[in-house]
Amino acid sequence: MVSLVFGLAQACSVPVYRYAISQWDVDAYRLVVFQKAPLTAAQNKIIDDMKALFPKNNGNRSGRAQSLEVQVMSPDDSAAKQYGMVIKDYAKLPFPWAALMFPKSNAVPIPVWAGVLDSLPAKTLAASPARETLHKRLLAGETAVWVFVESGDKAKDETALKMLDGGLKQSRDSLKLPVIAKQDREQLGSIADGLKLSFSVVKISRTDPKEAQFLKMLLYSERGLGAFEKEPLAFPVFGRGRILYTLAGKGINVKNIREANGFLTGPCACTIKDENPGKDILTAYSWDAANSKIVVAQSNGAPMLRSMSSGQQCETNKNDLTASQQKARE
Amino acid sequence: MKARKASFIGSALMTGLASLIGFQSASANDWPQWRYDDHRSGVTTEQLPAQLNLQWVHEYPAPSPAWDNQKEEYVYGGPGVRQPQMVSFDIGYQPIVVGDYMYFGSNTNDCITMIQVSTGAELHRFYAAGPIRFAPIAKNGEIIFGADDGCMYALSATDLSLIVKIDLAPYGRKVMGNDRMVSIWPVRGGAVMSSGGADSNCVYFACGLYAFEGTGIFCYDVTTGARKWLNDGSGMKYTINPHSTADGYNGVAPQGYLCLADSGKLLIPNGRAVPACFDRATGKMLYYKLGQTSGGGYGVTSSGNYFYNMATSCNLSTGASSGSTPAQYNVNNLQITAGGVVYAADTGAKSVSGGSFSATVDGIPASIVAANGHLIVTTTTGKIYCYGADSVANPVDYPYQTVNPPVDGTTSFAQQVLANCSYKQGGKGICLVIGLSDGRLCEEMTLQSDLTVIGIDPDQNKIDAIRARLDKEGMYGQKVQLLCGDILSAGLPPYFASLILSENIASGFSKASDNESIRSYIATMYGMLRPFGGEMILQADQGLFNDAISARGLKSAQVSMVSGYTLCQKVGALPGSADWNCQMANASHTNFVKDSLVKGPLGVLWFGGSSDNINNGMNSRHGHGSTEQVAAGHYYMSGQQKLRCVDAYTGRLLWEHSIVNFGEFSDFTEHEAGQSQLGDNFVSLANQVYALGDHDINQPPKQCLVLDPATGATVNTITMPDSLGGWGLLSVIDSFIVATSEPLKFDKDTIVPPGGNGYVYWYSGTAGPVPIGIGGVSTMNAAFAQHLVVFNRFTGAMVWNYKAEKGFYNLSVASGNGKVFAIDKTSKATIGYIDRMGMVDTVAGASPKVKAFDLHTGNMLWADSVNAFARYLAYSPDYDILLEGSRNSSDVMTGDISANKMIAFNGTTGAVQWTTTASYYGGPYVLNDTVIYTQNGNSFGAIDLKTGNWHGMQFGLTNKTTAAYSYRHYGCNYGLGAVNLIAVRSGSGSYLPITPTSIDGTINMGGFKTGCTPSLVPADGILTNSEYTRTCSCNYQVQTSAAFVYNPQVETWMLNQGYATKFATQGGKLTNVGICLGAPGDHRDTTGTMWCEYPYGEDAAGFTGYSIPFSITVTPIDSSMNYFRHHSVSIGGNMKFVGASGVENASSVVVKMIYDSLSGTTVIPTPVTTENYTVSLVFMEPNLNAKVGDRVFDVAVNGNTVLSGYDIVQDAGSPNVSVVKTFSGIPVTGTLTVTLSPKAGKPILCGFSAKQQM
Repeated sequence: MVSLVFGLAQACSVPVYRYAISQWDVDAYRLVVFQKAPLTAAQNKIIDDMKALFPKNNGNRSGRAQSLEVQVMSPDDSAAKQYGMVIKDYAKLPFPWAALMFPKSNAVPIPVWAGVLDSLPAKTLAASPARETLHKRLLAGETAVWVFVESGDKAKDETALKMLDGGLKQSRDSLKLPVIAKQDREQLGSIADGLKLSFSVVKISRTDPKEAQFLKMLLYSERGLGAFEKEPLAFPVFGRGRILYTLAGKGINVKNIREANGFLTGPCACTIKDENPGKDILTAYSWDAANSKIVVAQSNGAPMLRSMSSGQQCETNKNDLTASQQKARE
Repeated sequence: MKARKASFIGSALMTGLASLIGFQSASANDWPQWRYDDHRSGVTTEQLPAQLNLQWVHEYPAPSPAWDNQKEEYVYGGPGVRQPQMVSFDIGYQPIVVGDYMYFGSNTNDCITMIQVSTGAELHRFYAAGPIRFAPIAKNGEIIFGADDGCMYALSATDLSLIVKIDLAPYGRKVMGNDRMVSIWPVRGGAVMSSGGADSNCVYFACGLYAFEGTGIFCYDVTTGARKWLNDGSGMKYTINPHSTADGYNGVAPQGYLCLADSGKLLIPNGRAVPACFDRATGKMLYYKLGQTSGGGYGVTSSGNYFYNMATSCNLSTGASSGSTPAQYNVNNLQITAGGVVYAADTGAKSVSGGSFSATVDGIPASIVAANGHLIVTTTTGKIYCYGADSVANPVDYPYQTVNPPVDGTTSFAQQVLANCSYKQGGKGICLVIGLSDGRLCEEMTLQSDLTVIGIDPDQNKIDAIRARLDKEGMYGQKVQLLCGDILSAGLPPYFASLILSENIASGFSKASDNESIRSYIATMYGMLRPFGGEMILQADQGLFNDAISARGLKSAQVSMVSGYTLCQKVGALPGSADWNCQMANASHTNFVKDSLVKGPLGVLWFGGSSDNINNGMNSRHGHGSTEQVAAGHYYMSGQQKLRCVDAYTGRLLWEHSIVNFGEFSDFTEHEAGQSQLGDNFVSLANQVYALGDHDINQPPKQCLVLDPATGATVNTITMPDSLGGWGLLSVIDSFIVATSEPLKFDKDTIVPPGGNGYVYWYSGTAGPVPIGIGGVSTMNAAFAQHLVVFNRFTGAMVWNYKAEKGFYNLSVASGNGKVFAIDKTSKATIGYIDRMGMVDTVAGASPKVKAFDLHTGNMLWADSVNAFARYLAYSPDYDILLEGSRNSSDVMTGDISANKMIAFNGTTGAVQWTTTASYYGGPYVLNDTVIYTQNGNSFGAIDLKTGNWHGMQFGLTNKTTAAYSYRHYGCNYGLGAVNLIAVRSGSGSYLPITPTSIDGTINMGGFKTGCTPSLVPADGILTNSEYTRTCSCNYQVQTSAAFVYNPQVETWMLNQGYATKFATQGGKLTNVGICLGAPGDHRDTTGTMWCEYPYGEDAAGFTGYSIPFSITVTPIDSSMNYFRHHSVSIGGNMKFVGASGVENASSVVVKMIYDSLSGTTVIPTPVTTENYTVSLVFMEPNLNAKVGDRVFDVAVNGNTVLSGYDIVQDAGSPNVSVVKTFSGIPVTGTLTVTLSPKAGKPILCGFSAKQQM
């Protein structure tokens, strides 16, 4: 009988959260500069300064140098048609102007920020207090940091926050980390070391101007969250600043919190990032820091994972392809 | 069969091209071709007067562009995201100027017009047999141009008299194209002539629009009249399509103005795709980077080592894109330079300016020409403005004027005809008039109805006179088109005529010399009649019709006498065809129709109908609206706010019915589940169309509309009782509507985009907030419903309803044999979403179940609470088997089970007949009698319906039985099945031939992309592709609706992925194989032999996994060995698809008949034994000038000389004709060797087959 059953996407006994911080590059946000004339040296410096905020990925697994891509173009360029909505909405801005766009995989057509290039708030876009806290805690080995977005209704917020605290404690007490399989330890080396169950909460207000851009990233991480603007929201963030999904209002309960944490601490059933849930946050921090408590696998020695194109791939089933075809496509 | 020379040269008058008639030659101040010169620079040294004044204005009929959406940029993705005009080559007249004369072609009245520039006076017109869409060229006192009729014309520049007409198309086949009757090879490659240099006497043309139908690139020497070269072998090759990783067969599909470039290059625009580059001297293709998504469009200019394809600049040496185009080279920026002064029109503005000159014009400028002291501007409204130095107080105004047709006896005769024919269809359709007298009936039919008329008569003089008269009446071209020829040989397509009449039956039947000839006429006309009521009304003896019907076996014909005329009607559907009534074909969800007429080879029947060619107003591709439906010769598709009905046989828009928010749940540009999760929102039957009615955003409709298929008018409404909420799924079976109602609601309020800044998160074309889809609230809202409701569809009365315990998956509701089946279950995704967003789960509780109900009573027949794992049901009424499964796709609701399990129930008892698990068992299933074709991603398999076991099929190469499976390549949609094929997207439009004993590889119809929702629908005897890529920016060559019909002349090339595995695991011994040398792909002939291409791997990405699974070695005689290829329609003889290509100057071809290695696959060892084979060798002489004795060689097979002193020309009778030489009893011991030994010239071998003798 001909073998028609092809292998499933690679699985791994390393917990999702650890595999993610070790192996999954951050999806790149895009700083798009629209110009009608060559940029001046001063304007180029603004862009360079922004780029300088973002460290390079050591692993370079996806081929992306940074979690920020910069594109400079005329709005008349064919490449600009993907930004047609933004160009139209900000048509009154004087050139050059810029827009910080979500990663392509988010498929969000509006910008995180847009304005004249000279007033680019580079540091605000790249970082905020809450994101800095997230980075430190995740790199310190925390399983997940839950971002709690207040609704503004004090009673609702207190109830939900209490529920969140209780849920995290219950997760810590009840969840168990997977046993690392021998072949995974051989392949992935020490990234499976130092695993722990550790959760914490970062609280932000919907009206905090320092977190305005971060809030936008959260609220556009899942469709339809606008319907819950009067509800407290909780976002489990893991890996290199990846939002798993949203809990809202009464959905912030022990069961759901445990379920989210259970996914993050469970074995990585599919190691291909794009086949896992979540949306990335823009952070101008290094996730490859050598002095962190997380040992990040480097490209040399670590297995190179297949990179899946995002956005374009409709239904191509990679499992249908022979190895040579798959190689050709990659 | 004609030789290629005869096909293409076609006329000894070609030497007329060389004639000089004393007309002045082009000077530096002329404007002799589009954008002035061969590089299409738009730059002339002509110094125009500083002060330009309006001299005259001419108004001509408004242009009728091929692509009527191209008059302006159109929205394709979202607010402000616009698609550039990539095929707007004929939105306005494109004149040239020589001396004091201007010439331009018309796509409205099909003529070349000559105007005196100094006065504006019109001097002459010349009519072609189809629209003229590109500017002519002026050369040696001649005006040379091509038309959609597939012909190249050369006219005298002094009076537009015809010098020569050359039929470029290799055969006379015609199709309805852009709502006109045109050649299948229309001249859409606008001619270019060299401005100087070695090829200064050359003109270049290109024709053919669909790559898979073949295309031709031509070079003629106008001084000798000789064709220098023809490249007709670039139409199909394996390549990357204009969508990342979408590989398939595709090729050159010329559409746009040809352009010459430095280094002897010729650039051929390919419509919306990037240009191809050819060697000017030889016609050899240098590169064609079809997969390059940057660039594309009809206009190419070149300068130095770059060419500019609309907005993209490219490296001339490589074709690689290298940035954006400077404004002066972008033909969309209407701009020329004359004497250093730039004259330009702003995009969309109704004005032209340059230097101190500026002028406002009526309409958007379409062309600017500077020549001999004049600036000429044309507009999209048909105006031509001429500016010059003289100050003219009252510029001459030449308005467009027509004369009234006469009122005479024909007027009342036409009234009588219309009164006596049953044709209605809202008055729309095509009337064919065979045999003309004065053309009066043609014009009266259009005057008294909305019919368009095509008249045909063999008398060219008569045709010319009638064309001129009808043109004066403003009727020629768009309303009445006249063809010169005989109906028997005119190559008109099937099914296009709603009505056939005659003015002069004797002229129409001019070649009818006996009864058999008359039968041929009647049978030919009958073939052209539209099914479902097409009529012939002719002044001919009824007995002749009865005789022809009987003798020729004309099916479904009814003959009667009406007012002294014989009326012959084509009643009902084509025998052997079937309708596709809903998303899954029918209420049983077989995803299959018993239509045996739709089969390969498939050729174009029509393309680009009269409605919006890219289906503006329809849902965007990723929203997954309902699959197009085809019933009783109409096809239907759902739009954002409307239901559209189109004639499936001509592409003509019949009607649209506005329905508020009709496509709400599938109106997205991002990937959404859409109707593939929600079920149908309309169902199309022959006599009634059902469509869910108006509704508010995020609210289910309350009414189901019953529409008249003929007019789209509402004839009834069926209202869902208030207690049952609004409508969910809609399906129809027998006398019943089976519906779901009160779709489960999990959202709170209308969705408001975050931020409240006025952005609409997902663009829909509707104002205000819009629902969201997959993974979000709204898709889940409508994916399940709380009630199953059955109505009598004729009375509208509710028969029964049943409340779900949890919720019915809409797409699980399948019916048949008096039973209704459904899955009562809530999805994991929905439960999870409800839960984490803090909503109340109103459906928690009972366990999931598969349920069966009596259709007539609603009584539950059985329920299975153990096996309800999926969301999709399909039922075989023939065998009373219900299948449960899922679809593995990123375009369905997230979180559901993947396609790794299938369960078969007895439909009557609910007993599980079999269960199986494998990753291969995906849906939607194609239920073809006892075979279930499964599909999972790109893989197809075949399962036995009764057992669940793999279906064994014959593997042609070894004549052994193997598990049946095949592949397609890349595409969002899934396959739809008919008796002979599965239609699916595979890089481009494609199908997989199937028989009871085989499933073949993929055959691409390259050149267009099909929808993410399945849009290739096999039904009513044709394969319809209603354009469903709206909003897509992938630059496939042609973006339009089309239909395809069986045509054995059409080339098909197949990709047989998986052959290597099948071969290796079947014992690895070739028992029946053909080798097609130089061919672009594999081909199964009519005897069942699979001809495998060699050499393989023409694809750009090196997909070696698709290669043939056995070893071939071709040994050259010397380094001059080369492979050649032509299109098979351009050669004669037998086995043309093999003979069209081959290898020249090879000494031997060795085929290893035993297979023994395949990486990664266990190979079953095959004993090497000696068997006798029958070997057939195929030869064709490709050199049109070759004579007997030029090429002579011996041929040996496995050492035995089978042909001695073989001369192809002598054997075939002429070059360009393929011949087959068959030899039996050839002993083969593991290897087959064909040896070629030259005696004169270089030997040629096109291919050979080897069949083991049993």
